[in-house]
Amino acid sequence: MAAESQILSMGQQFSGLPMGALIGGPLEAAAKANQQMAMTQLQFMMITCFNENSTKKGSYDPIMIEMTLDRGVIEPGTEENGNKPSISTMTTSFKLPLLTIIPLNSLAVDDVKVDFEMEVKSSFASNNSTEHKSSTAEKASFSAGGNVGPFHVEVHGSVSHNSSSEAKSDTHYKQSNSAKYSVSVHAGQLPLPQGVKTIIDAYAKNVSPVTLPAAEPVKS
Amino acid sequence: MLINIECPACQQDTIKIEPHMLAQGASFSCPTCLVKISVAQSSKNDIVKGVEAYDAYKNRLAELQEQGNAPELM
Repeated sequence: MAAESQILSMGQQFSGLPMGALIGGPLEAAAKANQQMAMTQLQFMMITCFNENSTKKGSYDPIMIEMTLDRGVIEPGTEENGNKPSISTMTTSFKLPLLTIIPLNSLAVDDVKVDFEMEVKSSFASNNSTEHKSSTAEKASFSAGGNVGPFHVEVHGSVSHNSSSEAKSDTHYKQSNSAKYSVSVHAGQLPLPQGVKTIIDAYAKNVSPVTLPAAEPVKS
Repeated sequence: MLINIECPACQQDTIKIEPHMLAQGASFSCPTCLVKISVAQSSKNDIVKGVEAYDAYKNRLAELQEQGNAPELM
């Protein structure tokens, strides 16, 4: 049918849309946000938790935090206190890298979802109407007369004809189509890289307490 | 956000540390050997700076997360 050719196919309608930009745009923005987040994390880690080595360029030393550890120690009694054992507090210090104390992987873009739904509706309507009317009319009459002997004869006649015809046709055509296109993009944030985890674990496991020098007894 | 650190004294358990409270001078105990750890006075500035940087980092990540959740069409 001629009308069918006038309606665009779904493929033609979608081809006119900038699908690349519509779908790629949000995805690219999400990927960019992810990249920015990774860079932000790296910058945070390098600036906050490391100091650049002044003697060796390009080398970074972790910022160490000195921690104190207090624990109770049972001391044997002396003659002065009647051989009664006592509990005193011993303080030791150890150093931890700041990297192990500040959370790095606690916040992350863990879910990025882009839903894109498009509906295209196309319709076409055609109206065709033709009307034809015709009519004919004919009319005729005659009269005749004469004398036949003592008689007078007269004849009258008339003929008429009337004809009428009517034709009407109405055509209506309508077509519509629709399509929905849905794109869902999901990107999950990766956990802390294994390399960073390993470094943090190595630092955390190599904490070696250093005993502070014992305070000299106060002489009275 | 709690950070787990292996107890340097007994090495049997982990000590849970909250960085903000640690920066404010709080001490945390090992549940097994009961030793207390805290930040030495000499490192207090370093950890305060670290915690402040962490808060700024957290805000920046929240902005990025918002951008990721509502990306602009190009």
